[in-house]
Amino acid sequence: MLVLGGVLAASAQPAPVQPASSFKINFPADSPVAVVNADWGESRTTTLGGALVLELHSALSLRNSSQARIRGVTLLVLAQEVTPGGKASVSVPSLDIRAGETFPVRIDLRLLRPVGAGGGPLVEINLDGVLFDNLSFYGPNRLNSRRSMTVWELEARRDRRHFKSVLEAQGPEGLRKEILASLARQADRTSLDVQVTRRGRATAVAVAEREHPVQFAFLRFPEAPLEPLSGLAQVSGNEARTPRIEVLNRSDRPIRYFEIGWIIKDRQGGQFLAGSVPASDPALKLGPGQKSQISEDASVKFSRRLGQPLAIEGLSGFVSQVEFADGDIWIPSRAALADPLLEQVLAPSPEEQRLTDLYRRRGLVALVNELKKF
Amino acid sequence: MHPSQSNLALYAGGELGLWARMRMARHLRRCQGCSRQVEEFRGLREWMQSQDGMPAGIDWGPLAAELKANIRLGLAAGQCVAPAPQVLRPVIPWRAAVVLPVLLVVVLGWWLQSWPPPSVPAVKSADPRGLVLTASPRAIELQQGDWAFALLHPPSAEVTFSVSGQEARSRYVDSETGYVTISHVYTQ
Repeated sequence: MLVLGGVLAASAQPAPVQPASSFKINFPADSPVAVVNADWGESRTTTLGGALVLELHSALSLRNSSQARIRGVTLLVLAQEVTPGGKASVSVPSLDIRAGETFPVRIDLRLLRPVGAGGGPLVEINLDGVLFDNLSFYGPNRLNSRRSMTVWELEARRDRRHFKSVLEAQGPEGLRKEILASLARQADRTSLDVQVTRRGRATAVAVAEREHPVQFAFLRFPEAPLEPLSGLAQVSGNEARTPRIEVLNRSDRPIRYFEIGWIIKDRQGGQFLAGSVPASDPALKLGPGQKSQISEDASVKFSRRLGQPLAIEGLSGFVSQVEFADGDIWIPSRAALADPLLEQVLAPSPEEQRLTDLYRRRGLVALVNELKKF
Repeated sequence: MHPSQSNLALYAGGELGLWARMRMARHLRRCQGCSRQVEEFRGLREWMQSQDGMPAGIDWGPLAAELKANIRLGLAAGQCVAPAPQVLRPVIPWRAAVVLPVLLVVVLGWWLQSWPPPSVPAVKSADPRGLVLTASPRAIELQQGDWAFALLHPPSAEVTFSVSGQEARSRYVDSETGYVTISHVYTQ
């Protein structure tokens, strides 16, 4: 028995990982970022019963080997042997890395697989893209990281401009008030638990009710190149199914991608950002004056944190981003986002999150100095 | 030093003593994480109070009969074993007296190590291929049968999630680097 217990205990003991056999970093030879160091310090494997658990805690130190400033990086993390078809990415936006400077990117992941299954590297880390300060891009862009990083960079510029204008007009105390207001909004924002089932209804409906159609109400931005015309989703209790939204391109340029953010309202009057419906057709080319309909073949079930159910009463939508065929991207302005409903439900941009976090950790002087860098 | 979960829950319900309540209020003014947890406890409490009716659709007759039967069975079992026989002190071999506690500690240690605390799923997506995508405050995880692949979040980070099309996304500020980190896990 003692031997058995010892064996069981020993099998759960973590063992250090052999990075060479478990992970592979693939950066192209002409990559504008180079791996200076890869620290796998706390990575370990554990055998639990018939499963091998591998935890990777890596800190990659990357150097900007180009001549331009880097604004964002996306790394593609592939674990194809573990979950065929599954992939992930880690992006770091809102950077300001000059030529020759190094910066860290942390990747923390966990793999679980049957003992003895497969061989070779379990995880491959590739470069999906690098965004520079002139919005040029390098990389294979397999995950459309160019678009995502460009949106984050445009949002960062918009929000830095906003905070700098507050600083100029109202001084440091005015900036402090603005940052505190942002922190208060972040604290008041309520997140929902969401369960998405593709193709068909979600299996369990916490609030059982007869399904009925609910029309979207739209927040319209006068400057938006796209206008949502109508939208409908089938609603039953806390579940919304197959949202369909018709839009009109009111700009003079063809559009190849857009996203509609949607907000749900519950019977208690609470409003929450539910997510976004992307235009999923990769061949989309919506000409000036043309209409198009997007739909998600999915059921989405909402509940508050800790599993409390919620009953959907209304749906709202707004245009959250548009990409033109020439690669230009439109995002809503700060003035458009000052709508009371959006202020209540929207998360801040990554840059606003970074700046408010900087204020919280290091104070007003550090924030003012950071804004002066740009 | 953050207050315990039980004290946060007691505070949310107005059940802490005066001094403890004042100390907690002072802490909450400067700690957004704890404030949010208090709000969640309050929300949960309100929801539970709103659920004052019995669940619909349950046939209480058979349930009551089963409960009564179980009570009778327990009483009958109690009569069978009473009066208790005189207990003879068992003679335990000294080797077993040493080995059993050690074995118990070893097995308990292994068991505790192999059972991580459950995480609260925040976003979940499933598709016909058996791929399950779950986002929780600890990780976004893609599972398929016995295989799983997860991007982990730092334990102390305030993580926000979103779902768009075939992906789940999380965002947090890395406290060590000060950089915003955005993780995506895709089902295709």
